[in-house]
Amino acid sequence: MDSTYQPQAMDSIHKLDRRVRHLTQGMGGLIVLLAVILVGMTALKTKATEAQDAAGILRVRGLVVVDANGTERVRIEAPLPEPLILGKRFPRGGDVSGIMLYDDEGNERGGYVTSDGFPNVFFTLDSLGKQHVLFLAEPQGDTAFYIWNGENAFRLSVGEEGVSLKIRSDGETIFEVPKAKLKERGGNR
Amino acid sequence: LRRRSFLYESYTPIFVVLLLAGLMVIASLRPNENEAAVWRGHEGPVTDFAFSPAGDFAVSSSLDGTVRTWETETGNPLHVFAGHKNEVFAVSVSGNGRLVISTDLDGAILVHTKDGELERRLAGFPGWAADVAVSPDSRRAAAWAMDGAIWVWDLVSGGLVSKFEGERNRWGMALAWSPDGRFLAAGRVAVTIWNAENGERVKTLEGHRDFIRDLAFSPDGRFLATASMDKTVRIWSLESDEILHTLRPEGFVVYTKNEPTTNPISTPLTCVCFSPDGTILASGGADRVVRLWDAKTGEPIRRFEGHRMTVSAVSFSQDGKRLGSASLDRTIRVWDLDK
Repeated sequence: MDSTYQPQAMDSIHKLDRRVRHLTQGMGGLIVLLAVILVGMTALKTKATEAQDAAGILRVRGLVVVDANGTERVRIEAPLPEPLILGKRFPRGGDVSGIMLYDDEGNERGGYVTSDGFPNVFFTLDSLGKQHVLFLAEPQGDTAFYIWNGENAFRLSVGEEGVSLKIRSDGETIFEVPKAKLKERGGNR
Repeated sequence: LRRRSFLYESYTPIFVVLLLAGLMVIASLRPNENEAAVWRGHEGPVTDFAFSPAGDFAVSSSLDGTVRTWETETGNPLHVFAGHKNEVFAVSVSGNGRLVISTDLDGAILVHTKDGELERRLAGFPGWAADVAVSPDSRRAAAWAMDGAIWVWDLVSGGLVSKFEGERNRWGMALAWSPDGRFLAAGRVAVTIWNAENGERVKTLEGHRDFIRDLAFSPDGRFLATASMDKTVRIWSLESDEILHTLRPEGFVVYTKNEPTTNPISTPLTCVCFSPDGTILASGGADRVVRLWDAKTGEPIRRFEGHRMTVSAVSFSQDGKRLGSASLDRTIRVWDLDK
């Protein structure tokens, strides 16, 4: 080798050596960064999964099921909206929360709800605008079952003071055992 | 001969089929007595409908939160009033045909011009109103608040003119001004007739057993018709305060795969209206049938089927030749009464 090329060759070797060192350091840094990101993502994913598993539920104020025409048929909501009867809303007279069923015109036809304030729980079956079947439990334990249509009614109540059964036909009481002792507490409407 | 006979024999079934097809086409082209023009546009149940007093346009309201105007002759949509933010329950046109007043679930009572410009918002109303009525002179509007009072506004100034104090928290769904503007009828289970000038209770008409959904004065102001959830329409004499006729329509129409079947049961009734000459009464309800009655005798005259859901409103055109009906099926049908 010509001696005049030796310093240049050495200089090139040093430059190459430096570049290799820098590249090695850069690669190391990159690997460390990727590792940190990977560990972080894994930790976040695990945490999210754990949170989902821990809750396992949707926390919503309401859920509405509609039919093919877009008419609301089922609502789970707290509180439920005022009843819609034949295109107009009636005031319910108090908030209730739970499940409500609607017919194919959107009329409220029954539900399984609790009321705010005096916390009764109701199960009702309704005609257009009127309750006709009602199961009721009051917070202190009194319970009742009513079925009625206008002047015809059947009522069975059970409470600490005893059992009461009353049947009315055409507005006349035709059977009553014993005389009602329980306070009558009807629905919210 | 044999060849000719063969031709006849082989083509006879084709001739028969073509003949039958032709007859079916002719039958389908014949005007159906119950055929109506169908106006579509609302995206939710239609809650109210009325022809304008001059008959040049019609208005409708819907649970879709809009009020719409329609060209009477063609049924073409004119304007969509988008000022409401919630379900709209009722709409009325002023006697001069200039204003359209509507009420929604938020308690907003809006006054639009018939061209859709929001003129004013009648403020301070508690709860919501199921109906809104405009006086025949177009100066006042009334709505029944949830606190039991009937609020009357001046449509010129927008100010509250008076409050007719009804029973506390007793709220009703039907209001109508008498044709002479002197009285305001308010229907809950009973009908209360108020002196529209001084807010005094004039009389109470009792007879219905459930909520009254609609009421209408006859054009001469001598009779009142009411439609109720108790499944009856009643015609009252305002001179004797007696019930002249109790109409009990029967026949609930159910559509299964587009085929109607009629069930022999009665359903709540939602709307009623007199023809301009006062001789005919129209009614509608959850039975999905529009019915015409002789207003004098109470006898049924005709029935119109076609709506797939509850009929929510009926209105005669100014000339009495057409009847419009709105329905929760999202349509308005206009029936030609001359056919």
